[in-house]
Parts: sequence; C-alpha cells; structure tokens
Amino acid sequence: MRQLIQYETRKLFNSKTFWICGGLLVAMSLLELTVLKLVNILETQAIASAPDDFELPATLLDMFSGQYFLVSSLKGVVPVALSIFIALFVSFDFSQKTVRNVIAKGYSRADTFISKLIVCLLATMIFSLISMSVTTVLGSALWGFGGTVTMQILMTLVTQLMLIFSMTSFYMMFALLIRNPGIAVAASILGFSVIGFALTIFDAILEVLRININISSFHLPILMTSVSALDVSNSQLLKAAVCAVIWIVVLNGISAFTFYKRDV
Amino acid sequence: MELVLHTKQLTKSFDGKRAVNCVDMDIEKGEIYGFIGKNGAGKTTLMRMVTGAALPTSGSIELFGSANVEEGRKRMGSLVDRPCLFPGKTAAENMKLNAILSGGADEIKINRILFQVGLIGTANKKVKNFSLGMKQRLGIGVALLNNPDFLVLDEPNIGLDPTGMKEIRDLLLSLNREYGTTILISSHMLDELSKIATRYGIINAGYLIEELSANEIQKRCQSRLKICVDNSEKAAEIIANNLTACILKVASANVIFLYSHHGDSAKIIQILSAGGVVINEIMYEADKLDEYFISRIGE
Repeated sequence: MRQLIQYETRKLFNSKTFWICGGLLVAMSLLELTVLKLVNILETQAIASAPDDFELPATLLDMFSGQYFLVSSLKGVVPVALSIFIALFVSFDFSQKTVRNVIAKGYSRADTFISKLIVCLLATMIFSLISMSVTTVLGSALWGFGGTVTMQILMTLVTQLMLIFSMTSFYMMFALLIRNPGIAVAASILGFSVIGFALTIFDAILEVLRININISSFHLPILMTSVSALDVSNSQLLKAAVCAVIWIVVLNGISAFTFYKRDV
Repeated sequence: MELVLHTKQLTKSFDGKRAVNCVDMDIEKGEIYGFIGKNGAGKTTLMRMVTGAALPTSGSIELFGSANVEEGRKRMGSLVDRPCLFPGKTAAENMKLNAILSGGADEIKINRILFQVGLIGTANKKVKNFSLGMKQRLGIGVALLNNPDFLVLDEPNIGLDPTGMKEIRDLLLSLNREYGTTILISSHMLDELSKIATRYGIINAGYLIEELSANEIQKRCQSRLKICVDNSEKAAEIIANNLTACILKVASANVIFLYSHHGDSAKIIQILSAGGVVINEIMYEADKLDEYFISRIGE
C-alpha cells in the first residue's frame, strides 16, 4: 500500500495537469480580487463625488477582508479546477490502461482505489490551501484581515473541507464510471449544474404538492455556498458536515463498487 | 512438477457470449508455453484474466500453486493487449515510475533492462514519439522490472523488425535458460513462436482444443513426398498399382503428394520411369506449425 501511494503521489506531482490547474487557480484568484478591488475603488470615487446629503447605499466597501476571503475562497474557482484535474488524473489511467500495470503487479482493487482516493484528496487539500492562502493574503493586503480567527471560523473551514472532499468524491466517481478523459471532464463540470437544475424542478413539484421539503438545500454547491460566510450558524454547519459525510460515503461506495466489479 | 499457472473451468462472458469457455490450462515451471489462436479466439481475454485486468465470469486461477492470485502476481511480469505507458514521459521515467510498484529499482538495473530490450540509446526520448516496436520493447522492459518468475506476453513481436524479433527471442530464451523464467506467450507469427516454445496450447472460439509439447507437434506435423511429374494422373495410377496401402493426393496436373512410403523414393523413381512418366523433382516436405494449426482449427 505504501508503494502504491508513493506511485500515485509521484504521478500527481509529475502531472502537468496538476501544475496547470494549480497555476490557473492562483491566476483566477488574483484576478478575482484585483477586479473586486477595482470595483471597490470606483465605488469609493462615486461616493466621494456624490452630494453631501446623498444617502449611502449598502456597498461592497465594508464587505471585504482577508477573513471574508478565507471563508469564501472554496466556493468559486476551486471546484472548477478540481473538476478538471480529478477527471483528467483519474480517467487517464483507464484511457492509457496504466492501471493494468498496478493490478498486474498484484495490488488488490481495494488498495488501488484507496490509493487513488487518498491522492485525489491530497490534491484537493493542496488546491484548497493554495486558494485560501492566496485570497486571504491578498485580501488582507488590500482590505486588511478584519478581525481574528475564531473557533467558529475554524469550524466553518473544517466543514468546507469536508464538503470539498465530497465534491472530489463526486468528480472521482464520474471519472471511474466514464473512464474517458474528455467526457469525464465535461460531466464533472456540468454535473452539479444539471443536478442542481433537476433538484430545482423537483422542489417546484414538491411545492405544488404542498410537501415542505427543500431537496436543493442538500445539493453540494448549495451547501458550500451556505457555509461560505463569516456568520454561519452551528445548525447550518452541522447539517453541511453530516451531508458531506453521507455524500462521501455514498459516492465513494459507488466508485469502489464499480471499480471492483468492472474490467480495467 | 511445480505448476506456475493452473486454471480450472475458466470462463469469461461478454454480454452473454463466452469469449473463454471452461478452460483448464496448466503451465509448468520452466516452460515456454506458446498460446495459439485466431483473432478473437480468446487468447488475450484469458491472459487479461491471468493478469487481473479482467475478472472471470466463473472458474478459478491458481498461480504458483496458490489461489491467492494477488500474491502470485507479485512474481509475474506482463505485456497484454498493448504496452500500458505514460506517453508524456521518457522511457527511463516510465521505468522509474513503474519500478515503484515492485519496490523500486536503481539506475543500474533500469539501464540494464533498457539495454536488454534495445532502448538504452533512446532512454530519454518521450514515449509519445516512439514507434509501435519501441513501445513494445519498453512494455517488455516494464514487465521485467520485478525479475519475474512468470512472464505473460501477448503478441510481443507486433511492430518489431526482424532484428528486434531476434533480440526479443534471444532475451526470452536467456531468461528461460538462465533464470528458469516460465513464459506464456501468444503470437500469430507461428514460425517465430516455434523457435522458442516448449509446449503449445491451441484455443479456438474460447475452447482450449489441444495442449501438446513441441516434440509432439513435430511428430504430428504431416510429412510427405512431393513429386513433380509431367502427368500427375498417370503417375498416381502407377504408384497406386505398385505400392500397397499408399496414401496420395493429386495436387495439380504436375504435382502429387505421397503421405506414405517416405523411404521408398528410389523405388518410386524406378516404377514411374518404367511407366513412362517424366519426373522433374522429388523432395521430402513437412507441414509447418501454421499448417498444423490451421488443420486443427478446421479451416
């Protein structure tokens, strides 16, 4: 197992896609914050040139801080970068049949699957930390950090990491089911949107039937958005954490089952 | 004798169609087992099951006398279907990466294997720029990384030039003779296969229809006298009238094959000459492996 993880880790750090996606993640984060700062400057100038009796509207001025970007960085570019990277990284092994080398060397399918999952989670952790670091440092430089890191923020970050792990499990499942890099990337990028759309329609039907359940609120991107703020309630964090664990178990269960049952 | 591979009623179905059908195969230690069959006969599917890439529908596999196939595969090297390589990496990088799976290999060992498979001069060339033959060579190199006791090679000669074929043949023979490596090898180049195989298995439509040693196949390959004459019908009549229990076949207006009385060529010349038949040529012939194979699969 140790050799298998070493093999997968070497593949990860030798992967061009990993570095390209990581680089794009940094570039997109920098661009996003730069654009926000420019909008902020324009907004400040507009307010300064307004008449004295002008009533100030709710603006973005007080919204941003390093702390804000710390808790909101995982809902934007990170899932997109991960969807591309995980789909390519995992499905490549099947399209090039390199996974056969692993199985032919006597490694069990369970060990092979677990090693892939561990390395995908490692990549997820790296991407998440990169995004958090870049946005928090630049956000703090541009707007100040805006307070201290409280226990609530730490709990929010842990919940977010659990949600992003479940998103990785989702992308990995697609890659293992589809096994074609191009289609797996498309399915990973569009997957959440299509499911979200279907759930919205389903919710609308439930509302017509006067059944008071909001299925969409259990959708991973919705859960991620709901915990990407500074003042998330404990109940919301608990709901998101429980959903994340359930999604991780279910999605990886499906992936492991199909990997175990299908030829490679 | 120690069995390296033993399959019992091994079966693989795709959409209800059996690609491999209840195959019982035994390969003993030190053998070079030539696996012969038409395209789609089930060779690759069986080899994929042995290497773990495909899961059997039913039946069982034992490696090195144990049903724990994962443990057995640690002593195996394989090249099945096509070389499974990282196209964006060089030959040396591919070797290093795959070496991790078998506990690592130092630079010297990797270079030795690259030399053995004839790629030492192109170790730093990216695999995506390799020809099919070079990829085959590297695939064999990867299979040798864990010093296997059992090599499973599916058509390793594809894409190789005649020199390459000889090099790979010599390499396999030296592994077999020096280290006792057991080899299961399939190939459509039966002449090439006959230069190394010590035993053969013939598979047709998923059934293992025959297993026989190289000596047995040599005996079974039909031998005959080829007689070229001016009038084959007349010659056949004379031979039939003069030789008891002869088995002959008129192949064309000028050629007849005599499947009996191989030692009577002097007498045959004498009686044909006496009968006024002009003999242009008389020679001894034997079927090659491919002819025997075709006769066995009924085509």
